[in-house]
Amino acid sequence: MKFSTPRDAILRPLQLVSGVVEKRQTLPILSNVLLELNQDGLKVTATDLEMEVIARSEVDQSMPGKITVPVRKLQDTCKTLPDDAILNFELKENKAVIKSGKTRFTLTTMPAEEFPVIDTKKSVFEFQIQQNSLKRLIEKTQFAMAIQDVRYYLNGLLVEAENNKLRAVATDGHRLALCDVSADIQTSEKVQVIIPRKGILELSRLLEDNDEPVNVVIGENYFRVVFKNVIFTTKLIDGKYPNYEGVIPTGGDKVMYADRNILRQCLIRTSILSNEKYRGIRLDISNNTLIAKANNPEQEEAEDEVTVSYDNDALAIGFNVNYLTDAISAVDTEQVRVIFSDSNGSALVKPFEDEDCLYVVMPMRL
Amino acid sequence: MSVVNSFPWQQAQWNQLSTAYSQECLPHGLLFCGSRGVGKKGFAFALAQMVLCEHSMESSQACGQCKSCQLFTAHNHPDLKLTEPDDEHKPIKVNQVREIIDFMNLMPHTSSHRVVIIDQAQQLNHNAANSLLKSLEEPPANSLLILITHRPSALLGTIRSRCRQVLFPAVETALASSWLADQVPGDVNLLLNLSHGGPLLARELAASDYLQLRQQCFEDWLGLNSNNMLSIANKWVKCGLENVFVMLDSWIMDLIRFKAANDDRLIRNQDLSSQLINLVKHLDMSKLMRLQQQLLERQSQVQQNINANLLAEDIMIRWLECKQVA
Repeated sequence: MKFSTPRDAILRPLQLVSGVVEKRQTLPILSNVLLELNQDGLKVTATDLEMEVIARSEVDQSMPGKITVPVRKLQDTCKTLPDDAILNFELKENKAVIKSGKTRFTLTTMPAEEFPVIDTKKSVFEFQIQQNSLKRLIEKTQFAMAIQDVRYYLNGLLVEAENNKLRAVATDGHRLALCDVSADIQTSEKVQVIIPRKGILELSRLLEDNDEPVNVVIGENYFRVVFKNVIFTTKLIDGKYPNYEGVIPTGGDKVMYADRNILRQCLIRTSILSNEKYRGIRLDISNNTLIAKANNPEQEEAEDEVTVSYDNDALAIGFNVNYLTDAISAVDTEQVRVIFSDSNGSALVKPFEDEDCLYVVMPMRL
Repeated sequence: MSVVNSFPWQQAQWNQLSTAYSQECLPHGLLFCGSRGVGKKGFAFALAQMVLCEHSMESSQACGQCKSCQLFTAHNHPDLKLTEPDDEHKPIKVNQVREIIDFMNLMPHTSSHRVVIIDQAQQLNHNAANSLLKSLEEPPANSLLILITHRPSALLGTIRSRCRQVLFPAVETALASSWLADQVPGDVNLLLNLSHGGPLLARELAASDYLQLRQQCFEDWLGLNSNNMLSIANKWVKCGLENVFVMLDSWIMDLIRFKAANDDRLIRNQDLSSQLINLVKHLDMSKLMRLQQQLLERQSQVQQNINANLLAEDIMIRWLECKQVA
């Protein structure tokens, strides 16, 4: 195996993949990256056994081959070379020799066959989607995923594909976020997968805000997103997601419209004096006004009033203020629509008119 | 490429489990019980390789060729998780079990199954054992949990009842000694006697300087008097008091056995039998029994935070008393 390349052509893919390499590994080979060289160029793969990132790069290859080398050392080697350096990589007697000018590094290697890559044979189906749609899907929902819940299937994002529609759902048992985007999908039946939390966070780092298409492959045990130069794969959570549709309240008749920013500011202000553990806040809504009240064990009190558009029966209801502000912040219209049924029923937070995303927040007993 | 094989004396267990596997009725929780050094862990690895192999369904045998077997041989299999205490007497902590739970809740990586092996399962501490229960009771499909222990009684009853127990009895002497004779030089029968019939433990003893250490400690023990006691105690603590206590225990047990039955075939430490028989003449049975009791207590205290020198000296004083009055 032998190739030569400008420094950046190998540094960039290394930086892309090295994010998934953990500092402390269970298996020594996981601190290595897999380098595969063939006619298509150089393929760099890193994994932590839960997710895998592959980056491609164009290099001048003179002899194909594959090998694994320690990622941190290789990355630091490249990083500290001058910007315009040309790197010569060669495999000699199971050592990777990197030469550039008068600099020379020899790194240990491990055989490529021993590197665990996710088996992508069992693919269920694939489709194309714009990058920003996928990004939106994740951004609008990911905050509601549970963290280290014993109901392990909640520690991830449910992605559901049906005809022309891709849906994401996240819930931690107290609140729920749901978002739909349109996508070019043809499927006879609904496909549901749960992507682990860690994978979602990494994926949202990789997604960019443009309308370039990406390929999404859903397999039996993995979820893969194929970018132009990067392939991201994560394992799936092995479990069944609860029936989220039953949680979404229907038939709420008390609709409140409010300026999103003003309402949000009001909640954030009031929340300063809410109980630090339970984060309770009381909302009194009547006649186009909303009064938010909070108090804490030290008997300090906060009260704030905002003008909203509401002409129904007076309503008093309590919430965990964090859940409510999270939901309101995720809406991107200027006005936000909140639908209540009564003081014991969940509130439904939606954008002003659109129906593509919704947030359910459970109330607290006052 | 190679295939991890079970040991020749494990054929019955292998047949039982591989048949269950090929009929797709392998239980999801297995508890391997048997004394030390009979190859339970090796068997667990052999079973794990077969379950993870891509082609084993037809042949009930790992192929040694597929990607999965390749990764397995390189100790890099992503769908195999081995959990054991950091150190022999340290507990397995709840964090290690949480890692197992996270591992089981994700889909397998390369193979269709995932396998967790918990070695020294008796070291699971209370919290760890309890947090394992849920996964042990209803793990996700296609998972296999193997618990290994030489003291099943030390496990929670709720863990035992959730596993299918697989027993690994002491290995037949003829089979064990012929296997061991191929592996190590020296007195195979003595080694097997010292390791209570565990061939792997015997091999380990042969590879270390155990026999030499034992000879030295035995001489110390015979020549023990109130003048050299402190220096010998120091020396024993340096060699690892725990090992020395195990040796002491086996010598005292030999004395008791011989005293009771007057039959030198019952002596496990055959190479020391003439010296042991000499000793017995002057000793009193009830005192020996009491000494043995005390030794057991001290043995369990070695792992606790007690000055090792004091423990060693205490046993020495009692041993001298035992000898003196006689």
